[in-house]
This record gives sequence, structure tokens and C-alpha cells, in this order.
Amino acid sequence: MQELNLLKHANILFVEDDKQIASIIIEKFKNICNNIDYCEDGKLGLNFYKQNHKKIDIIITDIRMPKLNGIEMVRSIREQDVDIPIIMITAFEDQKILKELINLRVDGFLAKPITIDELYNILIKVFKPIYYHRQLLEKDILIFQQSKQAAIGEMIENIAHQWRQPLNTIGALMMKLELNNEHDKLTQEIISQTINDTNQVVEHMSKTIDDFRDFFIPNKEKDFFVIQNTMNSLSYLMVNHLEDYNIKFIITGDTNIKLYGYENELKQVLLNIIGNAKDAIRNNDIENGFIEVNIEKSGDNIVLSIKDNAGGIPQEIISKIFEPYFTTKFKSQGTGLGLYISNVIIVKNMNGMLSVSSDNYGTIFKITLPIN
Amino acid sequence: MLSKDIKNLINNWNVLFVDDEKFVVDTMRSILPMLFKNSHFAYNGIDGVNICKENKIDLLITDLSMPKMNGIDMIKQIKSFHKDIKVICISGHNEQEYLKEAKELNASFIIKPISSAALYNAINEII
Repeated sequence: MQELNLLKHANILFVEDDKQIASIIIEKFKNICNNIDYCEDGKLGLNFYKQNHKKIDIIITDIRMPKLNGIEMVRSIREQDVDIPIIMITAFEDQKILKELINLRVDGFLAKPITIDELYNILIKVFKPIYYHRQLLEKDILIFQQSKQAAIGEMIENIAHQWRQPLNTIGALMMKLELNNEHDKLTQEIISQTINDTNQVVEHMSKTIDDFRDFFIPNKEKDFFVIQNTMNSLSYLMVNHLEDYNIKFIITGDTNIKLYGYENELKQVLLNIIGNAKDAIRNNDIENGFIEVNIEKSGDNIVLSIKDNAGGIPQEIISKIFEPYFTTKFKSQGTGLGLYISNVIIVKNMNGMLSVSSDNYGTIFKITLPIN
Repeated sequence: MLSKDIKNLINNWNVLFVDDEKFVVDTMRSILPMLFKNSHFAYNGIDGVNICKENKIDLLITDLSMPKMNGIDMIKQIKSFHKDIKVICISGHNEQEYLKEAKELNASFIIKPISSAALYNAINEII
């Protein structure tokens, strides 16, 4: 029953010159499959495939057909797509060309005369892995969207945090003018000093918003970047936030290394790991908290180590931290996607490696990236 | 606005202002002496508690989210030995939890950003 439902997602192209057989099969499978398209010879089949290849999951074809035979059709299709599953209906006299069919990476054979059951079974066998793979992909996309939303939420939280304080400072500066005025103490000196102070705060707020905006435009293409600049802009975004919790932020090592890749995605990863370290230092009430990013060249790789003194990750959970939806934070603070997505970015998008080691003192995350 | 009576009343008060943001504290240093008799300042909750132990403070004005000891814990400690102290809290919009606790501690509060109108309102409220 479950397997019957599975074929409900399958789109089939059926190429067969015997209209009688075709009509029986179509009649039977049009309700079992999501869709079954029919062509009566190889030429029509190939044309149909070329125009609709994105919508076809499996091709079933006869071999002996007028205009263009099944083998020629499959050969042309394979030039375009080596993966699309193909099932061939063969007659006894086709045995000689079996080897050729195998070389064309045909996924299944049906011997004439075919039965509905045989066709059904082979369709299930061929479609099952496609179906599960597709479901995994959909899950990946969903996780990616959720993590994007989580990242935006985190950014807004950061901006709110970065702005609340300067806004409050401006409020205090206005009070200074007002009260001095009320008490007839408003001198020229106080006015110019207050204007000066306010301008500084406003400039800082303006720079903050620019930085966050730049940060959130994803890099469309890989590009060269110097790790020093990456670290500087990251440091600028985070330093206020970290100072609020008395956390020292240190960058050491060889920061002049040039990298090729997606800079903003790397920033997202670093922001996530440093953000986690900050939360851990805060939650564990560490007195002299520090976060150190060390950058070293190691052969053809660059290694970024992010080290903290937050007390480490418990051994029983350290193997789970890269899993999606795993979090130790409260629901309002964590989505459990930060490190998962960081790992995806480093491994899939940047061909690198993300690893972690931890003891009672603290945690070290290591990002290893190929320099070229 | 503050009435003349209230201005005269608070002119005899000792005030303590606690905030972990240095710039705000520095600005307040030039403001509060115009309203109160003696003004004290602290950058964290622990120092705040100690100042209250050593001085008779009439009014505590404090930020709520601070490192080491947060504002709520500081108010609780101070109230344990100085029951009658008047309290005005300053807090951000996202600190609803703090606000609830501040209300339970009979504190008045100002939502950031701070302004003289908000401070006067809060002072009128606690008198």
C-alpha cells in the first residue's frame, strides 16, 4: 500500500509503437502514477524528452520502433542525462544487444510479453531511491530556509542590541541640555560638547547599520578576500556586544592570508561560533572571559581556530552539536541550526572542514580551508 | 514636569545611579547633581549594593540588564537591609520578564531611551 503511494509521485514517459499494448498500460498506470506521457516512436519520444526533461522521472521504452529505434533514442538521452532511470522492454531477439544496453546504463529490462505486475515491480524498484533522495533534498531545503530565518532573527537582535545603547545615550545627552537649561546653566561650552557627543553616537549608529546591511547581502560569486579585512569587519560588529559582557576578543596569527571563496558565508560561520562562545561565557558566569581567533597557514590550507575559556562542551553532547535542531539553549535563544549550517557552509560550499575539541577549560573550533 | 514641592523634596535626597554603560553614567554625573542633594554612581550591581550599605540612599535609579549581578538581584539584596528605598528601573523593550519582577518589587520604571520627561514621570509615580 505504501509502495503504491510512492508511485503517486512518479512522472513517467512511455515510448511504444504498439498502440494496443500502450493503451492497456496507460489505462492501468494513469491512476497509480502522478502522470504518464505517451509517445509512439523514438523520434517523438526524444523530442518530448528534450522539451520536458525536468518533469520526467523515469523513461520506459520499447526497442524496435519506426523512425528512431529505442537504442538510438536512449543514446541521445544519455548524452544529456546520464542519471535518468530508463527501463527497456526487450524481445527474445534483442538478447544480442543486451551488452550494448548495459553500456548505455539502462536501469531495468522487461521481457516481452510484459505483464502489469512485472512493470509495476520494476517501477517501484527504480523509483524508490529517487523518491527517498528527493525527500532528503526537500528536508535540506527546509532546514536551510529555517536557518536563514534564524540568522536574520539573530542579526535583528544584534542590531537592536547595538542600537539600544546609543539611543539611550542620546536620550541622556538631551536630558543634559534640558536640565542645564532649566537650571540656567546652559553654557556655550555644554552645548558644543553635547553636539559633539551626539554626532559621535549618531555616526556610530549609522556605521552599524551599514555594516549589517553589507553583511547580509550574500556573495553570489566566489572572490578573493584577505582574512584580515574579514576579521576587522567581524570584530567591529561584535566588539560592543562582547564588551558589554566583559569578554576580551583577540585576533592572532597570520592575518594577511588571501583566500578564495564566499567571504560573507565565512563571516556567518565565525559570527555563529563566536556568538555561541559569548553565550557560553555568559551562561557559565566566567569572570575573565575571552575569545581568541588564531589564523595559521598549514601546508596548502588555512586554519582558523576559535578558542574560548567558557568551560567546555560536555563530552556526552559534543558528538551531537553539528546535528540539525540540536540545541542546549532555551527555545527563545537557540534554533539548533547554527552549527549545522556552519558545517554545511564550510564542507559543501568551501570544500573545508569544521572540527571541535573541548575540555573543562574551554572549546576550540577549527575551520580548515584550502587556500586556492 | 516636577512641581516646586517635589523639586524641593528630592533636593534633599541621596540618589544612586547604576548602569554598566560608562558614557551614560558620565552624562548622568553632570545631570543628577542638579536635582538631588548627593549623587552616587556605580557600574555594576555589586558596587551598587556596597554603596547602599555605606550611605543612606533615598532613591535608586538602575539599569536592569548588567553583567555580574543584574538589576533585579541587586534591588532584592538592597531591599533586604533597606526596605524603604525608592526604586526606578531603566530597561529595554525586550526585557518583559524583568519588568514583571520590577513591578513586584514596587519599582517604577522607564523604558529606554531615557528622557527627562520619563524620569519626571517615574519620580512623580514613586512619591
